[in-house]
Amino acid sequence: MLKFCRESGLLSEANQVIRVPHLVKGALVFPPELDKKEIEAAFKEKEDDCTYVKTRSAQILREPVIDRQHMTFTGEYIYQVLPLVNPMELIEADIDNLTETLYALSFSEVLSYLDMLLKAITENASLVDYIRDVSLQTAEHPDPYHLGAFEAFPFLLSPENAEASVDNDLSAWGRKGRDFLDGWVEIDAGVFPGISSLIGQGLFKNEFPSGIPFQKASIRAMPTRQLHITAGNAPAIPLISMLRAILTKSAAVIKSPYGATLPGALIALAAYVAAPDHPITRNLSIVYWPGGDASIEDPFFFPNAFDRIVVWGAPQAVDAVRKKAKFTRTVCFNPRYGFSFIGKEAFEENRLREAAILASIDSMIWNQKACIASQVHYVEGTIDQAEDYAKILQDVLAEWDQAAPNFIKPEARGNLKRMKRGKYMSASWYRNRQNGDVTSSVVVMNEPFDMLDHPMCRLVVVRPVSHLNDTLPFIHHAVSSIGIYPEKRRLELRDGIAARGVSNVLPLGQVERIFGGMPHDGMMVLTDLVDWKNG
Amino acid sequence: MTPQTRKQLNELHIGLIKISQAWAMKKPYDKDRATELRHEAALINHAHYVENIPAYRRLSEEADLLHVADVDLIKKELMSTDDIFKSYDQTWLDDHDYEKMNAWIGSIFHDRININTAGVRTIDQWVDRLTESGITPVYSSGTTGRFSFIPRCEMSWKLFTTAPVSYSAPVWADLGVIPLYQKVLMGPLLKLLHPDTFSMLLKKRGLPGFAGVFMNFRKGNMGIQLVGQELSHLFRKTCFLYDTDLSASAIRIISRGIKNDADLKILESFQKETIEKKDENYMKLIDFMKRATLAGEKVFLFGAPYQLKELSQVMIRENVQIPLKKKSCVFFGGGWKSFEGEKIERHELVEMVSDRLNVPDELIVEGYSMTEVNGLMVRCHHGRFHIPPVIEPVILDEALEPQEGCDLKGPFGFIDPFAVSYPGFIISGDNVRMRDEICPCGMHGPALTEVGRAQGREIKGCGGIMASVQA
Repeated sequence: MLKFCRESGLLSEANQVIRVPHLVKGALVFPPELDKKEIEAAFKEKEDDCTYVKTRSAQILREPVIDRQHMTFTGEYIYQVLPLVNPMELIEADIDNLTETLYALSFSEVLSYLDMLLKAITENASLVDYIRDVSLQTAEHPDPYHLGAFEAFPFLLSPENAEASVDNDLSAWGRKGRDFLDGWVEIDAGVFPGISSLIGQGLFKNEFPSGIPFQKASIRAMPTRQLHITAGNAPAIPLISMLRAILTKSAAVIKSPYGATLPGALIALAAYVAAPDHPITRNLSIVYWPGGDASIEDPFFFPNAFDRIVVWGAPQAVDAVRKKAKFTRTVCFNPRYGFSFIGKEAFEENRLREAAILASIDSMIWNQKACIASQVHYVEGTIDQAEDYAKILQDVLAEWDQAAPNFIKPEARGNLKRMKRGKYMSASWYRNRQNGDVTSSVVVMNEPFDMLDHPMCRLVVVRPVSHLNDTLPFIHHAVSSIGIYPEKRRLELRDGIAARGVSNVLPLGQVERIFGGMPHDGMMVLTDLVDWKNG
Repeated sequence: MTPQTRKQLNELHIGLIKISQAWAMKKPYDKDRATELRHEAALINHAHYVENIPAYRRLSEEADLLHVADVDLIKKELMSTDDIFKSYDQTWLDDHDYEKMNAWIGSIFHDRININTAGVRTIDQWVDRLTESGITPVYSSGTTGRFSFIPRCEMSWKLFTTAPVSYSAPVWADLGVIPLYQKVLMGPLLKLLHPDTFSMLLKKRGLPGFAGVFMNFRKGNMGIQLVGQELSHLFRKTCFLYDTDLSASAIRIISRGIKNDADLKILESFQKETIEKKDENYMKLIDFMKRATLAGEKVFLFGAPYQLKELSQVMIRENVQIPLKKKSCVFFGGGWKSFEGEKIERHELVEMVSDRLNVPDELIVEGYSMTEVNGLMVRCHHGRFHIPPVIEPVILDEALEPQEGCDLKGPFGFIDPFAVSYPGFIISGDNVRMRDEICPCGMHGPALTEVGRAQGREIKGCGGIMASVQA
């Protein structure tokens, strides 16, 4: 793969320019060769914060380089040159071909495909490392997170994970999920024939003296044509989305997000090199376009262009897709956020630091950018106890700052200042700094906090409550996860919290845990991605 | 504030108003002198705030800037956002805990507030009590129903109501709204008279030959309502869209939901006036304009853009056109706010109004201001909102660091030397483009060429918030 890239001038940075290919239904689409002068000219008339330009022959992304030591912008950019996108090429209309090829695969062939993909990745470690290092220059996540995301590829692509996901998520009638993907499964159901059938049998009993013969019930999980509009807050998201498409043997278009186009291109290349003629590769597209570009997206929302649209992310993206995709079933991973509950036992048993460490782990999930990351810690105690907790948490966050230096975008810095010098000026602020710049903060406030103000940049809001039950008015479907300490309290509160719309009610410090076949945002996602058929 | 400081500040204010009057007459003005006066006033205010405004003192202490001799430090470290005026706990209003509201507003005011709150059950009653005690709380309501309260003392209130009148008069003269002989007299008068005297004379003399039409409530302390009410003093004959008091409680209930029977009653009465009688009220304005025109009077029409649209729509529906007398004018401002869904392009709005009232484009004037600032920016025919020299604009970057330059984009902040009783170093919620050059219209100094709401932060992933929710 590395040799291929070098020879074709793909995925190699030269003079701060990288050419990034698209995968369109298994074919690798090359971007044009543009020199840096042409690229800079394209951005010349644009605003400083412009990140995207479309020319006649290419799309160009501009990502600011971050000084990894000081975690500030250097003023330089890395430019990615990508091919143009023709939306009509991405839509699959040949259903017969799908039925005969991709949909006809057995699940064991899917596992073999993943094995090939994994092999391609592991055998090309030098290219993976190169992509990891090139993309690190512009990564907004702290180094350990970025590096960890690349290390996690083998786990995510592992056949064991795939089997656990499919067999559990799609499991029904006591059968493993793979059975329903492989074909029709006869089930032992007590079938009610229907009113008209009963009337008809009575009416035409002379023609059917022993009744109309009924076949046994069979069901099947039919693959679908999927469009995945992914988010960039965690580099693994495009990969997870793509895996879901592969596991359900579905034809898929994966839209890479800004900030994570390189990992997407790496997987695209691996698929192209490892199994170019495989039906999965032939029906897989991994492309980039700027989210919301109507000239590209509108055709995707035509009736019958796709069977499923999966959208992750930013409120605007979710909202826009919901409005447009009237005719296609949409699976939305809405913007959500997490909380942490620290019971009074933490004070009684003098285990405040333990609780603060565990809660910090939940806050630091993808550096507080993930939908499950904890943004507010509710502390069962007085305002003074909340202040004590905040001081300890400030120290714990300082340790995170050392281990994983934080990058706070200028805009988020502005938001922090807005909070401190405005609506929340009377709250108690505990801020960690490095070279005069805020690296993490804890703010204690007695009154309710408007979540819309949260900049999600290593800021924890601490709210004292006299009883953890007092938090119930703030719990609804927008809250994805709550980590609770201690375990006894979690078990007490779990049902009430879950009933209010929260998807994950877990022990404090364990909110990020994952396993194959687990529910996501209240859904068994693979179950939602396939079409369940009676046949 | 010591009488000496007060006197010193007063002189600086007068100096700034005088410069602004020259500026308004499109004359080149002494920019350096204006900056000097503003900075001197800002530094006096800083010391006054540190001494007397607890919230500001805390901010200064944390920044280790109790003593400041350089306004650049204020711009960098001591500007508050406009949210400071709504930094109270909403539950205090829900619980009718106006003692706590007293304590809070006292933390952003240059005096502690101990007014009697016995029997106070609504925002309106509290505002009335404050007003009785000499504090004028001007308020505005965001779309979330979280009110901003800007507490003005007598001196601040006087500056708020007097200064804009004295320097905006030449703007109106330039538009031809003020008769030629008055325009000719204006230059020497501005030069000779104290701004207070000029403003008093102007108010006393008013705008003869004009009838004032205000798409406002006749009473109430909400920002744009107050502008209308103050302007109405210039007219002998006036007509208000709503002849009642604007109820702050009703506005809050609309945004935050009905919680009890008392809320329901307030809302019912508000609904009756503003919704049920809306068409009737618009017809009353139309009738008034017809009569004024028949009587040979010019009309000065004032309101928010959505109201101008509504008025035009009623006139279209009723098939009414009133060719107002020549030199009649329309003045609007305040943005679309919670009527964003009704928004139409500016030129469409101007066309609608012009078509119904026969007022030429150049006499349909837009103003830009905010409740927190003691200044008014009028849009010229080249689409620029000109900033009077009484205000020092500060354009910040994304990280809220002040920027330097002649063509800047970013959040709009300002140093307002006229804000005496509350912190006047403010970062607004608006994003602007500001150019500092001579405008083709002839005005000098900085002007805003683009104004929009500051964008919410970009959330790239699934972690995020769809809407304003409490936690």
